[in-house]
Amino acid sequence: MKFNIYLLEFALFSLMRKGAKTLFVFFILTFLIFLLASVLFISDAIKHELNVSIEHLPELTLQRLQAGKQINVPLKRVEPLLEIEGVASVIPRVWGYYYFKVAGVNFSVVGIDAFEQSYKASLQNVVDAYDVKALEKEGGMIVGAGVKKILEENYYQDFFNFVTADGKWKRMHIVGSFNADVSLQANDMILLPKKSAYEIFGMAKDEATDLVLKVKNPEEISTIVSKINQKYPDMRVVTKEDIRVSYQNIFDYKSGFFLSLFVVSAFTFFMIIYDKLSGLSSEEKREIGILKALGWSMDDILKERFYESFILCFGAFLLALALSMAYVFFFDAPVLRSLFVGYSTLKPSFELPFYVNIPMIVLLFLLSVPVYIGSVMIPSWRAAMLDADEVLR
Amino acid sequence: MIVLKNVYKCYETEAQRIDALRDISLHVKAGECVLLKGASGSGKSTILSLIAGLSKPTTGDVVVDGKRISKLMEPFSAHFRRENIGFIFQRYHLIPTLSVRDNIALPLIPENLTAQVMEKRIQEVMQLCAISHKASALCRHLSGGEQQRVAIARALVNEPKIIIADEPTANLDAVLSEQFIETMHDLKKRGVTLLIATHDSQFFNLPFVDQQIELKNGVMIS
Repeated sequence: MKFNIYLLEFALFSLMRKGAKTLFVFFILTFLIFLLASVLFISDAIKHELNVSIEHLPELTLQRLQAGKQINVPLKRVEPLLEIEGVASVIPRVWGYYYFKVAGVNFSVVGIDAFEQSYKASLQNVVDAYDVKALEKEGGMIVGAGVKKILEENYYQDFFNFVTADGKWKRMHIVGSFNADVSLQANDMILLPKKSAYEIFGMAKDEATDLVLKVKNPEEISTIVSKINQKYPDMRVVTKEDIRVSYQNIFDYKSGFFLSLFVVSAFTFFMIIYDKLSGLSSEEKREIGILKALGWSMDDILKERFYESFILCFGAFLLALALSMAYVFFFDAPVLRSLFVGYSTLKPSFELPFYVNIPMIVLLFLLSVPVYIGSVMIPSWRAAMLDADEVLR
Repeated sequence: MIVLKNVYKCYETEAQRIDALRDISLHVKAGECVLLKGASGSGKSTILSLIAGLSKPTTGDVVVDGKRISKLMEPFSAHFRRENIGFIFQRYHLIPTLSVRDNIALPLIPENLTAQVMEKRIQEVMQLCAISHKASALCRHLSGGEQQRVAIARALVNEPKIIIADEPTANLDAVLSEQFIETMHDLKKRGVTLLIATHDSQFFNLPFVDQQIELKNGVMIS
């Protein structure tokens, strides 16, 4: 059957002549879908970020505790740990937070060593890209994009003066910056030679902040953990799973706000749908009656209504999607974003990574476009079922 | 050409049952002009609706051009209407937010004709009804007479064999009523079958009227 372009034209024109009503529905639909899509984009981007972060984490992190507080680990424990069956490597880490009072933010300072394999690939890539030995000589450091931005805002273009644990100034030159793929973690990071890190934190040379363990077979983790616990009862073993649960708890807590937003948007949308389903105005019914009397079949009327509602709703869906993408990924989701990442206000801000969850978009489409079209079609179908004579009377 | 056989039509609501037509039988030949007379509520409009296939009789048969339209299913009755019937409603039933041209084009939209054929037909009927100068005006801005000319043009645009007019002069002054009668006369000369429901006495003595049927409370009295 030949496609009837006039029906499509009539549908378009029909939307235009309904002017204010069309605009109002279009605006409301766009706004609601925009809100829902933005929520989904932000939560998916953060979930993705967290998942990638967890992927990069070491299987086991060992911390030493004293009176319930974390204290430094003696390096002499490295060898005995390596002797445990199934342990592939033990990497001592020297790291900590440095509070930059002027900007009111914390930087994560991580010590790196030219002779030491980094505990995660992204960090290793950065280490490989720079001559760490030269860093030691020059007193250089490599900073995350977020750190660089904050330092520049505070007029530190080429160097930064750390205040060490014993109150002295330590000038470190900025020799480079990096945009790691895991911005949530890497954005606030400063990489500098271990020697400098020891100095800034005032740590003894025979200690590390914590130890990172790699295992040969992940199935053996629980056995290795129990052996470590036996050997060093003062050490806490944090597994990748523990960190995942901890991140998830923060995320779930924050997503409560979003759930409320989601529920309000969905409720408003379904109110519109309910209103639509409850019937057509007398004017709309009369128009259907006129068209039937002039020889339009029910099929013609429903097709026209379908085009009309599809153009309106799909147009709103596409616009809302484009706007929410721009809002989240280009403008970095002002307002909404702070609800989710509020827990890291002491850290430099990070950009939401571009991550689109296609099944969620399909779900959003299915929950909006067909539902709206249905809400237009059902009352139109009811009116078109009536005798034209009855509608026009 | 048009045959009604023992037609009954009743409208039922929860509160009451109204017998709009009772045992109506009539026969109209092709090209005839038939007047349906009677007071308001006598059943004139109901007969016209049944012939146009806008509603179905409760019992009895309506046959137009050999087709039992009282038994036609919805898509076929719509197609039948499009092919055969031009309806001029008492209150014109134009879509006020559409232009004159677009209102006239409405019966042609489901036909899916080529743009040229469609435009040719629209221009012809607009000229015939002397409404071309208002082609782009919105119908809600037209006078009563102009609206009626649009309604006539819309009824003619699909080149129907039958024109049905329900109280066509009820909202017109004497001069416009005269013009309408002349238009009907012209159509009759072209061989179009005319069915006009009216209680306007101007129609009663017209020479081109072939039959006059009088109704009272849903019953044919003459």
